[in-house]
Amino acid sequence: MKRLRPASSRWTGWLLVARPGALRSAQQQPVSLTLRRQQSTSTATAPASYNTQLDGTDHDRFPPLEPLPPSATSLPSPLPERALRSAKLAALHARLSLPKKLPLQTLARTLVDASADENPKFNNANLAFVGQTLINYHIAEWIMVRYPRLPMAIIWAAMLAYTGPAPLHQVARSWGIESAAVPGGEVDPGLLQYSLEKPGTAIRGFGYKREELDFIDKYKFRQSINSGVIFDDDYGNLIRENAQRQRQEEQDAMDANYDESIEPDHMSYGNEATRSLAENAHANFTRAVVGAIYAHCGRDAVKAFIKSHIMSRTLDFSKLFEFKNPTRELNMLCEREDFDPPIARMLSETGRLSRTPVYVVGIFSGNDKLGEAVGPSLDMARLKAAMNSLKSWYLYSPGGNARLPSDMLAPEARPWQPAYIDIGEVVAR
Amino acid sequence: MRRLGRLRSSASALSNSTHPLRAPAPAVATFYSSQTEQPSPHTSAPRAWQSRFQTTQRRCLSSSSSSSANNTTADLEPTVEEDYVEEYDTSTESDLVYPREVVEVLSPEEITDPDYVPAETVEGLEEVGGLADWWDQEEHWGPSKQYAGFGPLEKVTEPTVLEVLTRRALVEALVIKRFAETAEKEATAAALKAVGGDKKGLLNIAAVELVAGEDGTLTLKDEKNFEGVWASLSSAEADAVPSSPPISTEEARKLVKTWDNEWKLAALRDPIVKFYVAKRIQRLTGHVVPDAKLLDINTPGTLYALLNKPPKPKKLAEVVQQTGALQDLPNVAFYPRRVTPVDKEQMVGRWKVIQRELQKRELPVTGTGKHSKTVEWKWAHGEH
Repeated sequence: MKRLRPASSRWTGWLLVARPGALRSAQQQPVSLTLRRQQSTSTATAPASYNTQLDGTDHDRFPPLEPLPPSATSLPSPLPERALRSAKLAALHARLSLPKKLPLQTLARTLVDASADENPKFNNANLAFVGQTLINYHIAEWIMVRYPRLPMAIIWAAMLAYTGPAPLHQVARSWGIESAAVPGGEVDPGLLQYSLEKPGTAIRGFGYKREELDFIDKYKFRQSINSGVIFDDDYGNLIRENAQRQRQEEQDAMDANYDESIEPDHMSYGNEATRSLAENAHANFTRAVVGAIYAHCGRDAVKAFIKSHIMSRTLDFSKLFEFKNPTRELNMLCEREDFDPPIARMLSETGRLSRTPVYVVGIFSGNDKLGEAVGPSLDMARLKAAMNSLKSWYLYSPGGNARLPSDMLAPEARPWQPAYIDIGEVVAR
Repeated sequence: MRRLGRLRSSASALSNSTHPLRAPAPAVATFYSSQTEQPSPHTSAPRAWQSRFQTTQRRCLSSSSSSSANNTTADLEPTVEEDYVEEYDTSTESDLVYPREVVEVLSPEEITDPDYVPAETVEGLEEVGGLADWWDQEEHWGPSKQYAGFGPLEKVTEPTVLEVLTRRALVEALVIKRFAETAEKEATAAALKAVGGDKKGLLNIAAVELVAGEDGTLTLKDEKNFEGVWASLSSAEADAVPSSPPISTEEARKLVKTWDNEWKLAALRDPIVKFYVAKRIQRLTGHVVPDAKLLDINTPGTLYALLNKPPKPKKLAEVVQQTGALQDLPNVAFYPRRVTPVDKEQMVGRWKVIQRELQKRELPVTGTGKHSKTVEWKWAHGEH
């Protein structure tokens, strides 16, 4: 986790590439939320600027509801100034209680996925990268301080459960995000826009491509946890290739598997690939919102936002564990910590000769009971008691109010007292 | 009603039957009499029917005359038959336009023109005549059947013109109130119905100064004006209501500028004056002032405010635009027309795909194109 650094201002230089006119228009209309909306009057006065191309509709009987530039359908994403007139966008802004400093144009930009608009000045890729970094940093330090004895694999799993595509997709869904069927310039800017036909640019986190990557695939090399901390991404996954090439390979694989006999309708209802695209688009939107809040409102606002929307989700850490030899691991733990060697004792039993016997087994280290469990056999009860003992060790927590390193960034913060972090895992995997 | 009135006595019925202009009895009347004149029936069922029928007649008669109600049924029957017959005067002048007389064309054998070629199919022949929708056509009804309202068909809505006409109505109502008790009824009625179509008369009456009297009620400043206005009103001839007021908006605006606000604030208490004003207002402007509203009208100002209301919006969108209720809400989308399915598809970006795919298959984008109705419909209508 040493690569996770607090958000600093030097990121904004190249990550938050803004369109040339974006800042100017935002300055001209600082109170964009209170602007009077005028589409009803302007529809009657500006029919010449409408999309007058032959779209099969009767423009005399049904004049366009909103003035659109000519050939709006050929644009990859809606124009930024349309953000001021979108009811959905204003409703989203209000629903998320976003600060007024965050203009609607930026919120509209967070809804444009890289698969819809490849231009990084108009899509959310840069904002999503900033957001991803911030989310991962805050969640990682929080997990580490809250549960200082967690093994690395569990931290990775917990990170994935808090900041991975699936939970962030759920967060976006809980915000009531609706998605456009097909992205384009005429689409309501309040809809999430991503393309199901091309995957778009994937965001890369921090990490390095391993030199032995080909051999890992070929000979199934084992990778140590330590090397994973250094080389791999925030979830312990290998950095495979650059995104462009990976995308091309995925596209080729899809083309190779394409079956003419399958009805094209099959695609429209969704499959594994489209669901994954949708999930990533929603997750990137959530990240981009976080990045946008950081860009416009700063560090404290983004921390509060992450805390209330992502950190507040419930995750049962005890369900993440999986043990192979819990008794051996417990033995090693006691040895490392200079405890007396663990001894399993049966505390009570019932129905030993019946069909469903119940044994209660406790594990003791000297006079201290490390854990106990109920099982249908003595062996199972002993194993479960060992697991419980290990879990109670690993899930030690100094409490919810432990100070985080990022708290020190607040002005006039109290002097830092080092947080308790455990020396490491009992059994290296 | 009319029929019962003429049933009062058999003597009048007899005189009706011998009327020289009597038309032949209509079919309905014949049926009616044949049922009632039926000789004593042999079966029980017709007897029951007949007795019930006659009971109804008797009840009708008893309401009109007590002497004839006691007569026997046999005495009544010829009376009913003779009396029911409708009479009409063929000499009555009417401005209805009737269909022309039936013209019989010559048969092919009688035609002497050598160029005449008889048609073999009905196609291409001109269709002549037909009386099915004769009375549905407006021009076949004479001017006497047209509706003529008490006021102009279109209400006056221009605020300044309305103000001038309101002031005129007030002057006239005050004058009519002054003379209504002493003058003849016809003169009062003529004054209330006067249309005052010319501009000069309007300007004269509008120029009369209205002030608040000693007790604060509205009255004319100059006593001499009462006589002058009454003279012009009572001598007005009955005329059709002009479709538009005789004064233009610009002229009315100039006229209104010369007035101060005093006349609008004077009290208007006399209910009779209020009724006269309401009558004159309806005649001059087409606005109907409901009687219930008269109670609230206490000054000319309130009367004018009641009349001068913006026209009712035709669409809900216009109401919203006028009130500006939803304009400040950024999370409410407000559209001046219906949001069609095409609009909804456009908002989510699907319309361009739908359009492209339909065009690729050479199908119409909107509507049904040449693929309309079922093919059987075409067969049934002789299309191919």
